[in-house]
Amino acid sequence: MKRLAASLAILAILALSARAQPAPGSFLADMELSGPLTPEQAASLGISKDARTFRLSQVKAEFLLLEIFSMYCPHCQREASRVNELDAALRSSPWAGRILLLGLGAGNSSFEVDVFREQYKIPFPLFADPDFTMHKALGQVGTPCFILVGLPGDERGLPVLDSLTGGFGDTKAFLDRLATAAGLKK
Amino acid sequence: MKRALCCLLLTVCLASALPARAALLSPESVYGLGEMKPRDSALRVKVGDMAPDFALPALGGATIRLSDYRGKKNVVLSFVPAAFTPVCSDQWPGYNLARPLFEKRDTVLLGITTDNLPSLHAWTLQMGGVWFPVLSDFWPHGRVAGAYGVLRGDGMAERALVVIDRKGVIRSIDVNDINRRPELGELIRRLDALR
Repeated sequence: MKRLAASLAILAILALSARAQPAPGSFLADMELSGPLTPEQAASLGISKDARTFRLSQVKAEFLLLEIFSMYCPHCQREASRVNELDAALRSSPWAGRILLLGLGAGNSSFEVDVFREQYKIPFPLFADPDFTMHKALGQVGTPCFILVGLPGDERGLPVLDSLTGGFGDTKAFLDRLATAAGLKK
Repeated sequence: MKRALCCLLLTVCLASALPARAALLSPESVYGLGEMKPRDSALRVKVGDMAPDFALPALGGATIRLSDYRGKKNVVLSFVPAAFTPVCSDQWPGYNLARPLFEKRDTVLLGITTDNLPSLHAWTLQMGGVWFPVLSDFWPHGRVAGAYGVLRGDGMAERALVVIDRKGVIRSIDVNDINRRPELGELIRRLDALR
């Protein structure tokens, strides 16, 4: 009986940890994304506008904030305007160009990502993940989920500096939190 | 004590097995069904048939009759298996975002499950509401789903999309894997084909 309880405990821990957001100190796989990118988005990411695919580590910035969303997720829908505010705040902050925002549509086709982008007038780049490949690589996190990584990373992957699942609340406070995690603000 | 501990741990394991994409929707109110037989029914209608008419009670108290849309609007019937289940709980909120796409194509969306109205009320409220009529095919149980051939052996409807044109003719039928959310672009392309 004790053995059964111990086995179940291990199973529970494994199951829960599989769904947890990537923790600071861990590493993300350097995932490959495919376009399309607008010329402005390509320029902001430092990626050739003609590139058919690119890896996260190729983004020309010091830090990348990933938003894992789904157009089907009501929380993501409610948060969309706030995330736009965050993007604008990042662009006008002292760290403009050093921290970039990029969205991954978990389980969303390109069509579905476009619906989300157009509905909320999202200015930062969004990418489709129709078969959940990237979502699985990220530990099947809930949505929305925000993961701050350092670039370009190393052979272990991209270092996770901060992560949050759910709404981030106050935009300025979250921006400060990100800057602190990135070591840009003491 | 040991039994209680085992039950607790088992519950944690099962709860954590829910698809992550629904995890934040409302973890305490989403019921994981696990991986189900992808399809468990045989169609009783085909493309080109007149869509079987029906009248079903809707949330809000109205009775919705399919034939009321004839000559006026295209109709999409969205059958989903059950309230408070993971895939259904993000398919319909997604259609909230897609509302302009339906309206632009002069199309009415009707959501149908075999749940009763009180359950549908609680579920749609929990999802933040949906813009389209939600119909209960609860009693006689699954009669409409059965007429279309999308009633499963367990009494739930399939995850099916039926496109009906203004003349009341069925123009497409997609019975999707019950475990997967249908891709929106494919449905919109089917509506574009009605033009």
